[in-house]
Amino acid sequence: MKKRFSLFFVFVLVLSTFLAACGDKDAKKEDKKDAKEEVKQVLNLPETSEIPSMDSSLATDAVSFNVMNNVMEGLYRLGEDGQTPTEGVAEKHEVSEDGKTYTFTLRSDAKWSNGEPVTANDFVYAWKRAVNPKTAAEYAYIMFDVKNAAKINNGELPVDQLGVKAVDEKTLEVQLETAVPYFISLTSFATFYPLNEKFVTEQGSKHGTEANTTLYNGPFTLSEWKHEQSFQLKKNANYWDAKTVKLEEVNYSIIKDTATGVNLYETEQIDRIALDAEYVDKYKSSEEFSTYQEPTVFFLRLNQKDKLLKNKKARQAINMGWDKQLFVDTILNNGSIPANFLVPENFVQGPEDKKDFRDANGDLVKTDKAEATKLWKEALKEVGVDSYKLVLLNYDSESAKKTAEYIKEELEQTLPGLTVDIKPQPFQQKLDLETKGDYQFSYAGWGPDYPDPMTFVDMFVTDGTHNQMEYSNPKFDELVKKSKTELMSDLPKRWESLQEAEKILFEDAAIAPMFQRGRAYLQRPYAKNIVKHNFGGDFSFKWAYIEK
Amino acid sequence: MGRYVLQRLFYMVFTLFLITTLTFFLMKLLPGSPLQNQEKLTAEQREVILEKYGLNDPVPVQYVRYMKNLVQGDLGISFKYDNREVSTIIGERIGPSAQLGFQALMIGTLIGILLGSIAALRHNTWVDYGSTVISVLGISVPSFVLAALLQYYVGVELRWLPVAMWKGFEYTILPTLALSVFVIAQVSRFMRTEMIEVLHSDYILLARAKGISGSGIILKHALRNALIPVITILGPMAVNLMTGTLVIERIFAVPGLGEQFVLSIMVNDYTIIMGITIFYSALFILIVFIVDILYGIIDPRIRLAGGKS
Amino acid sequence: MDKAQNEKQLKINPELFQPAEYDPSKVEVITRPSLTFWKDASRRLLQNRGATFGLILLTIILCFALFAPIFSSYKYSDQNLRHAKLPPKMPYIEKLGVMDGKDKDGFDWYATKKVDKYYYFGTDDLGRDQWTRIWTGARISLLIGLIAASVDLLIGVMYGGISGYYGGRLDTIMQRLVEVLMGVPYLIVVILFILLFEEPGVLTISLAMVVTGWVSMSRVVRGQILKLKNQEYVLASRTLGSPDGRLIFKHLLPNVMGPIIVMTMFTIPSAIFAEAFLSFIGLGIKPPLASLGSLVSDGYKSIRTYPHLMMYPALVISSLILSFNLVADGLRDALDPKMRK
Repeated sequence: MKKRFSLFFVFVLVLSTFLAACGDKDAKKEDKKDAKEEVKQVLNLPETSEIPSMDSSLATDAVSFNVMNNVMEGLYRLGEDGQTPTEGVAEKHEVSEDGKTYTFTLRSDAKWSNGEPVTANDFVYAWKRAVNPKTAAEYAYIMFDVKNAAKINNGELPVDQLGVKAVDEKTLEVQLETAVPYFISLTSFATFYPLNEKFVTEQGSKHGTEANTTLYNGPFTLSEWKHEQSFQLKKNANYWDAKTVKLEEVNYSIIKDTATGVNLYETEQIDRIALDAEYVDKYKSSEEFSTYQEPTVFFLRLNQKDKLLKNKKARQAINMGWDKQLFVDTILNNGSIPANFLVPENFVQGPEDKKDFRDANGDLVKTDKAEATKLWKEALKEVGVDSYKLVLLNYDSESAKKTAEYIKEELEQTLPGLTVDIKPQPFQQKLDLETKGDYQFSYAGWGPDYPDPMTFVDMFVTDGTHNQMEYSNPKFDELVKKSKTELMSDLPKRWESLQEAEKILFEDAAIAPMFQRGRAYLQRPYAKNIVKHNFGGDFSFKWAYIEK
Repeated sequence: MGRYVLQRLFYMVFTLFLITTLTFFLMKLLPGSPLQNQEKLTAEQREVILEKYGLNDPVPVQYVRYMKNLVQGDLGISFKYDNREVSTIIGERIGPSAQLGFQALMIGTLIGILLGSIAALRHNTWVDYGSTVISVLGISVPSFVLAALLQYYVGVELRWLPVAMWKGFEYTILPTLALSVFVIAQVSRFMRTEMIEVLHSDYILLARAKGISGSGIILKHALRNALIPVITILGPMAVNLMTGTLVIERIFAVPGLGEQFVLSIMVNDYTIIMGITIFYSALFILIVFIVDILYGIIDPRIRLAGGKS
Repeated sequence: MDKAQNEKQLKINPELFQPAEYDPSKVEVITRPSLTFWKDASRRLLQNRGATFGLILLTIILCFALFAPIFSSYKYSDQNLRHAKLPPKMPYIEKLGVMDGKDKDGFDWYATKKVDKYYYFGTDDLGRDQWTRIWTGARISLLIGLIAASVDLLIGVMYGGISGYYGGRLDTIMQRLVEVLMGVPYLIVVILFILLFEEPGVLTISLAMVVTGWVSMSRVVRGQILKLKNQEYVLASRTLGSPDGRLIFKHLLPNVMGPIIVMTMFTIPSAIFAEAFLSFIGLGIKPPLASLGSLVSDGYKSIRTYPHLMMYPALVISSLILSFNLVADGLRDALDPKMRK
């Protein structure tokens, strides 16, 4: 009897807890109705991480660059086709005969979001700040084409020696080290954006850390920034080309999990979501599904410090010994394509014929398992071993793991006597091991810093920082060096020389390319004209609009 | 008692100092640098940047510098979030985590104690088995699976609650539920075990013999005694819950501290690692202290200060 | 008359008062079947229906984990991309309309892809047999759980026991040490551990769990000992001059057995889950080897596209932990002297 009472007591408590929970739910439904408003020129998007920095000199990552590309503007910006530079703060420019001096004329109606005009001095200040070693900007190197930039950054020259000068309020003169053909495109990159000296000095260390401690001169402004949670872009009324901008608002929410993103997409909270391979099969037939390719190439670094990988035949065997097409179709499943090259497809076009670099240079390796087996056996014999164990240094992401597992199995089957061990490491630790050369072969990737094949090819010059695998070929070095110096005046020839260099790389089987990354995503059909870029910020909303 | 508390306070500061020191040196053992763009930097550039942040100095020098700043209350600035102060970042993140943790702890403890008590009172009956099954399911389904299922069925299929994000109270319900399941399971298991033990003890028999009502026995005698080990696990659990859990925060897009912490370890954001560690440890030590004091209040037989006597 | 009648009824004669046979050697003979503590415990364990069920379940899982990978025609690492992402198909059971090689929309992938093999639990995105992977994973998970739990038990009980029993200054120092250990972020320790041992093997991961894992065990034991050590029977034994060792092992430890066993039974699943968490953030067991935790955390991403990838490992992991808990409960009751009926 007494026991029963206590049980009853306990049940009442449980029940009341549940009732309380249910009450909450009812309240929620009504809230939802209120929140549903008529969608106008508003785009709701997910972002994978918080904005690390809104300081254009300090920013280093895709998220920051993407936001900056929409709320700030350099001399030029990448246009509606995604890659041709179009007018930004600069109205026009003149190039000197030797291609080393650029004179930019700034437009008179370019303004900061606080109403002050954008002047040539803003550029001079920003650029000097970026290369100043005291700023410790991690992207300073992108400015090294500007005269003296590298030396200033190394502390060999004072900052005022930088080859940039404000002739007057609206005229900017830039001296280059070499006549790089892609300089105009470079000016669309965040590190080259102007900064208002007075404002930046005033904000001190707070600059770029909050929405109101940053100035904007782009099509939008960052109107709200709730750290790690959300941020909002609003149309900038002070923008010189405000009439082109149709979107009123872009609301970003920070969503790190793809499944969550897909659920939000399905409940109409966001208008676009990038998909992992797991979701592609489900949505492939949907009309909201599409894919695009990025100019990022993934490849295996083959460290020639290793006694077997020093052998060219062994490297060739690893290059040929696995099926890339099947891998790309089944495991990545996101629009990626097999890479048989280093310089990606649809990235750069020839200076004269406008033909894609890839079309001209074609595939430089092919999968041939029988040949791989043969070469491998010879390599083992030459090195004098029967079997060999290779450790594959890997990223720690799920898809990288899958990829490594696949390659391990494929290579072990094709190459007799080979054992592959997979060693996943957190990103920073992995990079550290690579920098130290403390690995056998590794899963690596590279995206471009500027729109030129050099950004890829330059990686493998002897003792280059990014070589990291003791690859060295004097002929290759020579071609790269020439393309950086004397051939600057003969662009078609430079083009050929870069193609030649890429071929040499593959004759030596220096690396084993894997794939060029693709992205799969879902996007509402009413979101139109979001422009995708190959370098710098990923997207431009300047021309985007909603049409229902 | 007063002297005991003072002594404990001294030890707490000392412990915190040890943790800070140990973590600092362990953290410096992690390979890699906090640079964000390391992949693309040249060796010279890396030097320039490391120099600016003083990361080229020997670790003990860096340690002394850090401790000096720490004593002045300066936790430094983040490497990843350029120029943002660590204390600001922690301040922003702790709110959502603490709210979720607190809600989950309240609901979880309450239901857990109830469930565990019922199971004990009805030992070896279907009620007991039922509550065992509930609590076992609670710990045997990984939290990310549970969270994903909740999100999908309640958020997408039924549309009762928002799928994710952090925009108000209704957004906290699903993550709270997902978090509390684990608490329910843990608490109810311990409660059941202890309750069974207590219910068979002599003083309960005596109380029954004296004719005290069933609920009186349970509330006044059994519950109080059975709560001791539960409190032992509740302390650390509270700290863990309120400082955030990566999985729940990631899946429900909650801007919490747990996610932040794992991220900063992965990218070697030294100042944030240290900041969160100090914050977490201080909280933890405090809770342990409170639990020890609570011991004495709940069970007067435990005399902490006296030792053997 | 009454007297006479009484005498008639009570026929008491001297024969009734024979001295009993007295053999001093037989006085101490125990006539009921002798039961040692452990025999008694196991008897009572088997009387507990829940525990018996748990034991059977555990045995079944153990058998599968031990033998299924041996008898399987696939290796856990064998890939066949052409057979990727197939739903489960099991002989005989397929006739019941479940595990018949059809996905949730009733589409028969085996027919489409012209596969005439059986993948009992389907295949993953690399075309690996999930059946083999799950049971190999169960082995790994069990191993991690067992190693972690036993080291936890050993260190935790000793540490907590000593700290709680001796109390005073020693207790203070030991508890501060525990606080330091718990204060140092677990993830830093784990990453260091994994880097120290070069690669995340079973032993590395188990030990990484232990580094800070034993602390909760020690705190529970300490709390219990604190509670018990001033109780009358302990005081009595102490007054009678029992040495500390006897007090600890004879009186205190058996009485904290319950919480210890429950704690251990929690350590196993939490070690298994901790490994899953490490997999979730990319630090788990070295691929292509898999654990139940890593399989679930892998499969959770496909929860809406290929639910079998999460369902089956989740089922196995849940049954495993369910059985551990049922057995633990049974053991607790069986080992507790106060529970004897």
